[in-house]
Amino acid sequence: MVEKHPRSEPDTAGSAMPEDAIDAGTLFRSHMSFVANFVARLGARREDVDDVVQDVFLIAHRHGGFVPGPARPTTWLAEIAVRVVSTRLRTQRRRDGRTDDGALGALATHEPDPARAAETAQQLRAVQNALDSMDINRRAVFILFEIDGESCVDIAAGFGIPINTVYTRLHAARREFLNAMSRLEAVERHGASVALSRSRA
Amino acid sequence: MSDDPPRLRDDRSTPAWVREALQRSAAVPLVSPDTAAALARFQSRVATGGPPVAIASRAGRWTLGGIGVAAVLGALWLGTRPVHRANVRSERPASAPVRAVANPVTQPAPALLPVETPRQARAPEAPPPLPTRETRDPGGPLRAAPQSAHAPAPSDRDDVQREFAQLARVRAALEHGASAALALADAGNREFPHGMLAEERDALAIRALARLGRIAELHRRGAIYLQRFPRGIHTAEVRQALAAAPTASPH
Repeated sequence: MVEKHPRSEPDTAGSAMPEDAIDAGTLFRSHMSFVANFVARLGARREDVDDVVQDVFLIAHRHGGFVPGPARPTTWLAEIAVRVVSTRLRTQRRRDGRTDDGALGALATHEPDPARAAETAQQLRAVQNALDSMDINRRAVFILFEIDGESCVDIAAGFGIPINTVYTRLHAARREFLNAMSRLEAVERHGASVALSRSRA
Repeated sequence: MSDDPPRLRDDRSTPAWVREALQRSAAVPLVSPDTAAALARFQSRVATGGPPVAIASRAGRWTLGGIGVAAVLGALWLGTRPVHRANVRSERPASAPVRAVANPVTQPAPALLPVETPRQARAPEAPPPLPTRETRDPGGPLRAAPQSAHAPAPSDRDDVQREFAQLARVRAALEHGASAALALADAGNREFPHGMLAEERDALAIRALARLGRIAELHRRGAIYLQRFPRGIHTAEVRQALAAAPTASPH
């Protein structure tokens, strides 16, 4: 199937790029870190992140690079990333284990205060667990808006969807996220309270 | 100029700990890739034409989204779909009608934020996802579907507190011995057949089975768990436990 992308030329591999297009190499240098973190939060396994990033930019290249327009490069790349990750997750679902305690644990080493590091790791793990419980399209909108700070207009332009669809997905994603976080927090809190009462006893 | 709602991390009505978690998530990158090495690899792939890349088509999404009615369909779907998951059952509390998001552009920003306090979020009107009629909990009887999603009677709150305390005992037991934790988890399933923490109990039971090396049972209960909670908050952990178990196939 030939895909039409809202913010790029159709598959132009082998043909001339539009004059104002930003080539994939430039995109790579500018947004590789963004894409890597986006796909990691989206559910790509830690060991797959590099490959997913490569695939995303290869597709961007085959689309002729990014043509400036309503979408931002980040949201345009994010739309490609969602499709790449979605495909990978489907094929890997049976053997996939998303929880990446190694990566989250490593983050703790960036904090000089051990207590603070543990707290940070716990918070990141909670956020990731809550994200993992969402549908991938809602998760993508949530990550872009709530974590990456993109605007709903830019998300809509990047994904080629109506802005009301973005709002609807964001609304649903927020409910799922808050419910999941509340559930995680409730379990943690009750566990802690029981431990505290035992230590007092 | 923006019609966007305030971000949760900036919204004072968001629980403080959730705000802080989101703020840290925004500030701390999950991965720090080696850009130079990755760029060299990318350029090499481009130079050689690169392998085919499997990617999902946009067509599926456009069947709904591209015709400009996705928002309406989404709102209708939210309002009419059957309740089937614990953490989405409270999506439509009385204080947050679905129509509030049907046209968020014209709504004040807070309308997009679920009007839900932490207490409401934890309230027991959100029992856990339930199995299909064909799905039997290996550690307990078949759990019947709830008859309604009404808020609990005050007397139910004691049960909720007891269930939380019971789950805490399971978690504590797991620190000392997997057998005891497994027994407690199964006891919890029998004591709270309609409880709201079945997902957590089952996840702990699966963790205990993995530690005990009871592979066949691990795969059996893991498969049931994944069927019951395909997008649960512990689903990734369960998948990881199954993937790490010696037997390749869960069946």
